[in-house]
Parts: sequence; structure tokens; C-alpha cells
Amino acid sequence: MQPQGQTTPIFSSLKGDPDMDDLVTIFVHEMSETVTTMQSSYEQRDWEQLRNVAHQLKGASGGYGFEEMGQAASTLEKLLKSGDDDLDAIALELSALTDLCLRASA
Amino acid sequence: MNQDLNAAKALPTLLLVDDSPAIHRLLAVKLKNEGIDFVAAYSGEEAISVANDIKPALVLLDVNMPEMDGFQVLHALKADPETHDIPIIMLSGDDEPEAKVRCFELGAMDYVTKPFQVAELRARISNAIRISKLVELLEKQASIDALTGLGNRAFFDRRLEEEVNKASRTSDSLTLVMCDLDHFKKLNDGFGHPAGDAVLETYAQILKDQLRTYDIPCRYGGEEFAIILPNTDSPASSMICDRIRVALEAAEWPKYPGMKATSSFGVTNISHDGSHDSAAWITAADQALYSAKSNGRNCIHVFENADNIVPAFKLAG
Repeated sequence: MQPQGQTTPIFSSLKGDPDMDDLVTIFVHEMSETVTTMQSSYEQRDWEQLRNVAHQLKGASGGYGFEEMGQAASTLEKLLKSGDDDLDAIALELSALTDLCLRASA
Repeated sequence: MNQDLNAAKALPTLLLVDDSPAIHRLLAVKLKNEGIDFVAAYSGEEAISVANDIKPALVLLDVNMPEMDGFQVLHALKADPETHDIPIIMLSGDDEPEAKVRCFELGAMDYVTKPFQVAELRARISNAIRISKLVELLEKQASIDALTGLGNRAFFDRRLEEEVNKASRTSDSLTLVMCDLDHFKKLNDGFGHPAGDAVLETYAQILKDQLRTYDIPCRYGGEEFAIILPNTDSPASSMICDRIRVALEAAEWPKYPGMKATSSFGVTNISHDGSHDSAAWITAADQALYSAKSNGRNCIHVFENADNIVPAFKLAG
């Protein structure tokens, strides 16, 4: 795994929408757990679980105003779907995604 | 338009099926002003059981779920007569045409890709609800006779077949009555067609008043009516028919002085050839009706197997 270099926060594109602020806060709050799940899936080579989490993130993140996260999740999901189990390739996409997850801020 | 259609009833219930709690929270907030009651299911199995329990106005169904996926849920809901008519919008992260086509072939009404635009989803939801209400209305109207408000011929054919099948399966008794207004042509000629229509409408009202809620009165065609009486044996059905007969005979027609209307009844509790064929039931009831007409009209005749099968005949009216 690559170290998490970037610490610049990313804000939801929906920030300021009174309907959304609380929801975004919950969504962001859950990110650390989501990242932990993805990392342990990777370590256990549980590609199905990793793919499910990436799939859920892909579907939900756009709705919460984190479009870039959605694209990274989609890239990872596609890679896993292709059946390619090149550990380095998966690690690269996973770290791109977890980086975005951890930078997500309310 | 939507508001008008929805106004009369309680809020329509929307069943959201998705394994991601983040999607549930998002939609509950985004659709909170749409006048929709939200019910949540997080798996395919849960979705099928909830859909059966609450019969939602609409299902939003995620395609990609672990265990039972959206295709399987869609298939199960469409295969069950109880949930068959509920409109279903598929939600999916996949934009592949094959997946979309498969959903439409399985009976989905619409397909929305994630991440979705909330405004678009709102529009698609209200559109799906509106279309399904119109389909329901259309199906209802296509089954009703416009003049009398009774079931029409197509509705009767369908219901008779269902009831004959059910009775043969359960061995419950079943009665079919064919009834016909006596000398209806003379009545139309003598008092005019509005008088004829008044008699048809009054007769339909008498049927509605005299029958029980589970009986099925229909307009068979022209001045002929058909009544399906589930769980009813011969003595009970003759009594019911006689009440109808007396009510029409006693009806007064202040707008048409001197007019009198009566009706004849053919009743059967068995098919004429002992088969489970609904057409054979109609033949038996028709034969009994023919006998009632021959016996002087304004009376009831119950079909017996000993009755001779009358070859091609025409009712005397």
C-alpha cells in the first residue's frame, strides 16, 4: 500500500445545501470504516467484498457530491470485474480511492 | 395532474430496495417533499416479503445486490399475481445496454443509472406512478359495460373461467344464471330506446341491490345478463333469481305510462356435459333460459341433465 500523502480536504459539491449538510456529515463520518473494510478485504484477497464496497461507493458518492470518489470507485470496480488479480494494479487503484475517501470532509 | 390523481388517497408508498444505507438516507431526504411514504428493504428476500405485505405503489430496485440480485427480485415480483402489477424502477450503477434490455424484458417500467440526478429520479417516479394508475384505470374501464356499470362480456368470460376452475378444484358449488328481458324488442319499439335503456339500467341496479358482494353480475350482451354465484347451490340461487324477477316485475315507470318489464332466468349448477369447460356452463344455462322462455317467460328454469340438448336455436326474445 502506498502511504496516504495528500491531506488536502475535499468538500462535497453539494455543500451549503441545507437538505444535504447533515447527510454529508454522516457519509464522511462513515468513510474511515469504509476504508478499513476495503483495506482488510485487500489484505485477505477478498475481491468480492472489495468489489461490493467499491460498487456501493460508486452508486452513493455521486449523490453526496463526491464525484471524483465515484469515478475512482468505478475504476476499481471495473478492474476487479475484469478478473485481473494483479496485486499491484489493485493496490494502485485502491490507494487512489482510499486517499479520496479519507480527504472527504463535511 | 399528479396531485389530482393522488389527492383522493393516502400517500402512495414507495418501497426502496438497496443494500447501501447511504442510498436510503439520501433518497429519504431528497424525496421528502414528494408526498411519498418510504419503506426500506436492504435485501432481495426482504423486498419480496415486504412487497407482498404492503403492496407499494412503486418499487425502486437496486440491480446489484449480494445474495439475491435485482434481476431475481424483479422476476419473482412479476411472476406473483399479488405483486405483478406494481410498477418497478430499476436502479443500477451499470450503464450496459444488455442489463437495461434484460430489465425491460422482465417487466421493469424504467431504469435509472447511479449516480442519479435527483430531479430526474423524481420525474421518473411520478411518471411511473401516473402510468400505472392510468393502466389500472384502463383495465377497469375495459371490463365495464358503459350503460349499466356492470362487468362486460370480456370480464364475464374471464371471471367465469376463473370460477369454474376454482369450483372444480375445491369442489365448492357454483351457479351460473343467464337472464334475459322479456319482449325487449317490443318494449323498445313501443316506448322508444330511452325507455329500453331505462329498463337495462334499472335491471342492473336491481341486480346490484339483490346480489351479495361476492356475486358477479355482468351484461352479457344486448338485453341478456349473466350472473355468477360462487358457493351457491340450486335452492339458494332460485330464491335469489326470484327476488330479482319480482323486483323488476314490480318496478314502476312513471315516465313511460303503461310500460311493464319482466325477465326470464336459466339457472345451472352443473355444466351440460359434466366437463370443467366454461363454455359448457354457458350452454347449459342458455338451454335452461330457453326452457324458461318456452314456459311463458317471467319465470325461472333450472337446468337438469335430463334436459334435451336443443340444437342450434334462437331465443324468441
